[in-house]
Amino acid sequence: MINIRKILSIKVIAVILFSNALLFFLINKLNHSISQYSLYFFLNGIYLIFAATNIRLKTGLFCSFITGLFLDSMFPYSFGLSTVCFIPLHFLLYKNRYKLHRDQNWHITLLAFAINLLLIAILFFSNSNGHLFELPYFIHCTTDLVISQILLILIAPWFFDFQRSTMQWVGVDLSIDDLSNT
Amino acid sequence: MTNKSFDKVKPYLLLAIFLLLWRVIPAGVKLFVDNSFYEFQAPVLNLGNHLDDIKKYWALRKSNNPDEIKKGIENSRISASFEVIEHQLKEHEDLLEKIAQLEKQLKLPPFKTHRYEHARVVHRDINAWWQRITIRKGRDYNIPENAAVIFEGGVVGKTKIVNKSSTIIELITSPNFRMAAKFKGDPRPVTFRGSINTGFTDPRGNVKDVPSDILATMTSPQFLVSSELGSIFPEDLPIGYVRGLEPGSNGLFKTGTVELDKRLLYLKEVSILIPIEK
Repeated sequence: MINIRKILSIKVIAVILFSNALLFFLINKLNHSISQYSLYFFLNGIYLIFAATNIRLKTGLFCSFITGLFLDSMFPYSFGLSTVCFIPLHFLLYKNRYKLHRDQNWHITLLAFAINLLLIAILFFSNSNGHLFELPYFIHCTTDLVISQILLILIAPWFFDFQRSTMQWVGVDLSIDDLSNT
Repeated sequence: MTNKSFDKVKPYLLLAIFLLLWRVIPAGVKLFVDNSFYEFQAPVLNLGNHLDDIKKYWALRKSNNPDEIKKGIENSRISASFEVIEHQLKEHEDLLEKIAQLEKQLKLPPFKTHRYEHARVVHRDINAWWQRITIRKGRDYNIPENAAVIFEGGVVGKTKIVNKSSTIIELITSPNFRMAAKFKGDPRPVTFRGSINTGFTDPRGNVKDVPSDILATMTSPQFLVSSELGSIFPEDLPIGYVRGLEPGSNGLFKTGTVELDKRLLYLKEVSILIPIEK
């Protein structure tokens, strides 16, 4: 029984990390292409939703932790910002996940929308480098925020479906109590 | 009963332990984890760039246009002759290096101080918080930190983080970027700083500490070039145009906006200037 749970956990971790990495590189590619317009998509909020709302605590937490470290290594802000934000948010989502309609994409998409908004706000204040009260900084951040949130609404349902389908494909049934409970 | 109440507080306990641990972990360990994660994923970024190259190569191979094939043959012949010239240039460079060493021994000013290392841009990361590019070469090509990076339009920035097979370059447009500069034909140094650009606009920077007798207007702009005062950039590399100067906050010096090259936002190849001594 323990072995089956272990195997399932490894599969879940692999699917979550793989899908997060895939989305990250796709968004990176997109950002690379639109750099000439000085626009930027920031979608870090999307990565922890599935792990926090569908997976049991330890496994999901591990996924959020690794994803946070991965994002921290990729961005030049102080190392640990994503990880330190992800862990409390993961707990918060985990504790309230039974109040959510996890099977309905629009519900968790809205959640991703809110989390992403929060993360951009944190970045806005923590990484301003003394430009916080300058108009160009505000305009640039607002532009990036708007386009990021629009893109998030467009791709989040696909991304959550992709994660769900991949879980099914590798033989993980998310409805099993063994996996979804602590 | 005890187990149930423990289960309730367990997530909070874990969170508190994590935050405490994160606080006490030494900076060296965090740096090691940061570098390890970056180095682990770096080949994937490079892989995407290599795949683009292969795609272009096969697109050219599939072309049936005889004129293009003819031109290709001509190009290959030219490149073959270039190889011979390159070999001769290499010999020439070796000789120049020997001259430089002799000049150093004789305490004469060096003739050539830098060598070029050309590299493909793998990734461009341009936003309000940071503006940087990643290139496909790193420690494997002896690229040092804080080396000048240029392209055909002038200064690109400087190398910030050098990894095994990639290097992160801070762009001249970044708000955190500063360098010593001067106006063409005027030896007095000024300070250049990148600035925040809003979306759909051309890259800009700021110049400050400009002597009050220097004038710049729309009709007669001043050309800003690099100064070797900062000991990173060689003299006279183009930076951009200044089309207006206004008195600074202290009244002694002027400040202005620098119009930078548009191509900085979509760079594909850059050259790193590596000091020959290194």
